[in-house]
Amino acid sequence: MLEARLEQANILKKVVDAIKDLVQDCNFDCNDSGVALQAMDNSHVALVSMMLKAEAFSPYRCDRNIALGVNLTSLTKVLRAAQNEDVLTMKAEDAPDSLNLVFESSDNDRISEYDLKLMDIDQEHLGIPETEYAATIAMPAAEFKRICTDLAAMSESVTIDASKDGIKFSCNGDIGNGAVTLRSHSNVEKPENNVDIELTEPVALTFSLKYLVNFCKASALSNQVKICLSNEVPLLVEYNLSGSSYLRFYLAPKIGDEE
Amino acid sequence: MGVNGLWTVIQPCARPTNLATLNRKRLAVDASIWIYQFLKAVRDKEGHALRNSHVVGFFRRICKLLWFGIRPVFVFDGGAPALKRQTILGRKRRREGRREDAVRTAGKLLAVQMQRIAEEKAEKRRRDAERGLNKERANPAEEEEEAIPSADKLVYEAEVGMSQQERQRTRKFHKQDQYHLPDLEGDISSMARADDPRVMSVEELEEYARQFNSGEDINLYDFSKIDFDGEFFKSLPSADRYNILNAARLRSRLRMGLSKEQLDDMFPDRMAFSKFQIERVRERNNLTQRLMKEAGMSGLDLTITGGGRIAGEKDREYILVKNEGAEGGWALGVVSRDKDRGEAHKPIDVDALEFQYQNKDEETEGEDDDDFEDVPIEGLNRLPKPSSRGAEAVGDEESLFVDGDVSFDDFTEKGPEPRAHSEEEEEVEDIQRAIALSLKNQHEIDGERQVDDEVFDEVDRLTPEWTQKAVPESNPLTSTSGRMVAHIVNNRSNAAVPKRRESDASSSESELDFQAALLAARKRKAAEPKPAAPKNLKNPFDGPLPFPKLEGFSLFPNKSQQAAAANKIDPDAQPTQSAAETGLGHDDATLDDLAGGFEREPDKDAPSSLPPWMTDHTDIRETMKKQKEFEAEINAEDRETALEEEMEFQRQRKVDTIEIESSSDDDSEVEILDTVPLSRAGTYTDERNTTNLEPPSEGEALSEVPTRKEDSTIVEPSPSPSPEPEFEDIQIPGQESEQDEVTVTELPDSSPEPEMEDVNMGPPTPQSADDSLQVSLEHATVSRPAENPANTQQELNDKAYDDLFGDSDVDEYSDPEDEELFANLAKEAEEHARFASSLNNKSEKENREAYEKELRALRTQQKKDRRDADEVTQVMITECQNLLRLFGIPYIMAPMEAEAQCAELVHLGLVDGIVTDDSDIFLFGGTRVYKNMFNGNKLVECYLASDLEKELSLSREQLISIALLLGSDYTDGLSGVGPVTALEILSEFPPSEGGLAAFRDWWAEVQQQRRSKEEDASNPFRRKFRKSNATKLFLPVGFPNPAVHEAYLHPQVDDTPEAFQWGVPDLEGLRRFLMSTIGWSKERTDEVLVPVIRDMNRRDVEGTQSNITRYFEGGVGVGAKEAFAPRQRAAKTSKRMTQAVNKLRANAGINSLASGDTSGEIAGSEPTTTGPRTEGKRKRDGQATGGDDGVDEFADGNGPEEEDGDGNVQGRAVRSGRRGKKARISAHH
Repeated sequence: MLEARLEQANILKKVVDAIKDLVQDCNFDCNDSGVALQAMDNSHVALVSMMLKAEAFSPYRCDRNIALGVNLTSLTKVLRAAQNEDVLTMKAEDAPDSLNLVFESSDNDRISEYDLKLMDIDQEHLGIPETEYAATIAMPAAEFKRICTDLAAMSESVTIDASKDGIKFSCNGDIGNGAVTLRSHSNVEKPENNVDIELTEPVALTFSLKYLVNFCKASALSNQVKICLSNEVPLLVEYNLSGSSYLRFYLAPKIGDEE
Repeated sequence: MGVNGLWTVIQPCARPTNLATLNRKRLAVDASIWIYQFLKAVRDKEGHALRNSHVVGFFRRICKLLWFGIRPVFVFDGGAPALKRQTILGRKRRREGRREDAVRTAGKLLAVQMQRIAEEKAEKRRRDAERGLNKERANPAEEEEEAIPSADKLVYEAEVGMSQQERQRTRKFHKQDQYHLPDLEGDISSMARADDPRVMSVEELEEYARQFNSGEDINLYDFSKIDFDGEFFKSLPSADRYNILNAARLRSRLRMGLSKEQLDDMFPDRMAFSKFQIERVRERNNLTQRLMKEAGMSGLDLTITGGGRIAGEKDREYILVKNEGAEGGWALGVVSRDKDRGEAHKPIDVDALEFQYQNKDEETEGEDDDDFEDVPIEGLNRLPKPSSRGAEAVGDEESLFVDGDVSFDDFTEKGPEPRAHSEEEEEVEDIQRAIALSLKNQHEIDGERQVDDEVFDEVDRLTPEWTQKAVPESNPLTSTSGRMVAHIVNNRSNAAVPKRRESDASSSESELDFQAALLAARKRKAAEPKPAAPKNLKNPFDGPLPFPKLEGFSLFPNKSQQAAAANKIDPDAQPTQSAAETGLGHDDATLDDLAGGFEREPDKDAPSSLPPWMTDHTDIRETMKKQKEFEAEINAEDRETALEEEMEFQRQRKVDTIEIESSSDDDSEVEILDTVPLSRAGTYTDERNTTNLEPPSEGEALSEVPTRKEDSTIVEPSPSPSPEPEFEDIQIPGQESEQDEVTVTELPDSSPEPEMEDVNMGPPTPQSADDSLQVSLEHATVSRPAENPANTQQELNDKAYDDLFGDSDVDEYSDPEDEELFANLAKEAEEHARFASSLNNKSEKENREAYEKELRALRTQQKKDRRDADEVTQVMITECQNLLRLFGIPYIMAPMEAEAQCAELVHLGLVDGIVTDDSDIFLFGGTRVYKNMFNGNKLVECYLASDLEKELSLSREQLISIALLLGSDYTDGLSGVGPVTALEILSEFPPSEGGLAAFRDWWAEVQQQRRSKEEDASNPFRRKFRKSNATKLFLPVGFPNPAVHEAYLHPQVDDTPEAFQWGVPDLEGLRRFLMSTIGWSKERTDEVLVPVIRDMNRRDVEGTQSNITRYFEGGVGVGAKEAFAPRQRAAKTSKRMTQAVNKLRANAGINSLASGDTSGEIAGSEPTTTGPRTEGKRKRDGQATGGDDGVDEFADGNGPEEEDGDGNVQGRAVRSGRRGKKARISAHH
């Protein structure tokens, strides 16, 4: 039996919006620590990992582990019926055929209730090792989004080069090339505009911009984005949700022919 | 191939996998099954194999693999193991039977058609009689017909110009086929006057033939034995010396006829081979120098041999003579029997000479002379256009088409005419190509010709149907000289032209999808007359000029000598020979002569409307015979097709109607070509009046229409003299199963048209439909009134049929197993037709329906027989390997079975997966098998051996058992046992109880009546099986054969652990290769190849997108790491199947429980079927379960959750397959 009440339907709406282009069907794995989601895109290049901790809900109850196999497109349709400020409650049986979603409007006493049919998705988890990243960059989500969209106009891939001079996003396309360099920067008045770079060793990796642009759809979730790089390891792009909940994207780098 | 029906069993285990995830994966490709597939599935509608389909198929598939960044390793079959050889032998025997079947089926087809025709005739007679009685009919067209008094006085349109006597004669003559000519009343020589320049006397002919023969034999000599410095050699005439030297030089260029393998044998040491090569080069150089010296010394351009004769006709020769005078240069000389000609008092007046001939009364060949003048020595000059006709090329072309068009408008026998028309166009095109090849360093192709090209290209697009029919012989142009290329192209134009066709046809298709290509090609496909089209174009240079021939001989001695021999033997053909270059009209005329000298109006315009290089002929007689066969084949084929699709009332009509329709369609084709509506209108006017009515708007282009028309009107009654016969001589050998066809040759009234028109027209426009309607109305005298409305409908029918056909063919290609589906669909259609007709309740209709059905069944049978009778040849394999080499893709020859080798490669870790459609692979222990790689756009089916085990509880052992039941390459299986029954048997007799041996024992008891029914009464399966199979199923001796197990478990493989390396595609080499094997132009090749290579290069620069699974270890399930793809569990199998599978699983569960519990006690006595491999699998399962915890840990982030996570995963494991859980339980024990 699962019952999870989310104060703001907003969060779930944005999460689903952010990942529905990468992933079509996925399991929401619910256990008593919270709701987790892990899915790869079709091409196995990117991986989405979301964790909504139990603290994000009030109340949260999950007696047994439940996997909710959801088609994200369908879920989007249902969530569209919810106002941003609505209180959202998810309910499911232990071996559920459907997920019950209740939207309660805080302004009036409108209560809408939807049942979403579930699927049996035979999806398996990848073990993601804990990694000490060589470079960790925290920056405004909007800035990251801008860089990605700007460079995507030039080329298919971007090289992210983190060195002590700063972090350089450069691309080389048919029409020319371009680069954006960021340095550590702190804004006392607007801490959300800080650029914070932690570097243990220089890193340079190439990634597909198409995916990065896709990740940036999550910008609405958080002011800041954390980018973690290490050689020979997928890029981690993390958006913080409320508390210690997160939405993480992993992107496999482009690699040269020598393995 | 593979285990029969195994795919259907394991279908539920398929994981749709995105092709993009296979990026940078090394995949072993079972190449043998590819070739087999192309051979079996890529067929024209007659069931003939398409030559080179394997090259095209390989090319496209390789491109697709490379595009997705896959790194393939191709594995070819080596030998066949003994067990397989047995099975293959059995198959072969069946195949032999099939071949006979094919012949028999053809015979049956003939019989059925004869019967049908006979009935039709009877019906017709009956109706004629009826009509005679019943004069008042509503149909106006019929009234018109009724106005015709009697057959005697009736004048057919085609007979307008004939005397009553002639008419009688032609009518009495009933053609057996298109080329059946009426008997001559005297022989040809008696018809000609003594001084008729068209006819050569026998002596002259012999002399003429000798002239060409003289130079040929030198090719038979062993040049290495000739002492070029010797006195004897020097004493030879310079022309002979030149010939010999030239031939020797050419010969030295070749590998002396040795294959690569032979050379390899001769020179095991590379150094020795090198030396050998250098030796050859030196020798060649020596010869070349001699040659040059020879040429320089003689002062005669010896390239023109045979006494320097460049053109000639009876009593006269034109030769080039070096002018030794001060001015130098070359002069045209004439060798003439009129000794004094050329002297001052009797100057050579070329023009006057012509007129002299043209003015003769019986002159029919003025055009010959025209053409002689312009004899294109190198095949380059075009005929100068007569000033009266204006100079625009378009006009020229137009009139050309109008010519053809008009000739179609006659309603006598014109079956071959339309074809002839397009053939000439092809011919033209072909020659142009040759010219372009040979002369690119000499002449620009003038704009006019380009215009022509465009026009012809348009023709191509409209009539690409025969592309697939005559796929060219592989015919690499080995020569380097342009002229040589041209000559080869011409000599073997039947190879060359189809190539061109193919490229044209396919160029309009999408690049990567072979199926799409096929579909498109099929759609446009129609009657196959065209493949034959090319004709031989012996040499565009000038009739039988010895020079090019010489070169040709050195390369293709046999063929050319045959041709020469034909020249000698066939004096009758000589007129054609002597008439070097002619136009369309000339073809007719020449053949007219042969046929008995029909008179023609002298016509100056007509011949000149055609470029001289358009035609050429040699041994017509020789080819006539073959042509006949081929013609008949076509006829039969088309007739069959037509029959199949025609509605009942359509079928009642006479052939005339079909012809009318075809002619009208041809009109519309011409209309498309010309895009001058007026000319069409004019054509119709002509048609209507059958007189020389000439619409003023036509202009010069049409000016010759009336005359031409008249010509053809007269000509027509003779069985279609057309340039067609020429194309045959090479074509025939290329057609393998020709013989089957020949039996059908006698069909009297077949017309190839009904099919063809669809294609020519492209989408049937209402316009053309109207046209055909109109025409048939106009000629109601000939056609039967009731059929008029049928025309358009038939077109639609045919069209629809074509589409249907195209579809089915393509699908056949995509997956042979789909055949069933289409067979079913076809059956359904048949059934519907029958149902519909029974609704109408017309008995005669049903009668026909029965014929239809029989015909169709026979045809299908024929097609299938033919397909099964073909085999993969070594040449195909070599070609594919060449292609791979050019692509830089590694390939290996397996010692035995390619599938076994693929499985071994996976085990060695040399590749990551296997691409095959052969289900044997699982039996050899293969895993991660990608099937249907080339069917879908993005998804391919991935099968993991572990899935089979997990989902269906089918271990490798059990799969082999299934093979024993269902049959595979190694065993014939049990008849009457299908996949479901096989699974039931397996579940009923699990390995723990002895497996198939237990089944055998039980069945033996049952059959020997030792086991009472009561004993099995409680078991539904056994009860049912006893009931249904008691009298049918007899187990072969020694079942289950342990050798089969052995063969699958321990195949002979190459286990070299050496890793593969991938190279870079050789673009230039690929272009050349594709040009020489399948005739693709550079553009055609680049279309697909360049983007692929560019993408590869880009990947080199930017790096390849790696997969995330590379970095993150899969926790759950064996396949998670790389073949990560959610499985679809939608597909519902039959209830019996599900039950069987459940039972299997239950058995497996018990098994594992048992083995877990009692492992200490009976581990040794565990049944043999639980091999080490199964154990390994289980172990991996265990690992996987361990991994679960890790994942959940990751997801949760806290330790205490572990227990629950474990439970969770277990729950899911239960859902996906009980095995995991059972294994776990046993582990807990």
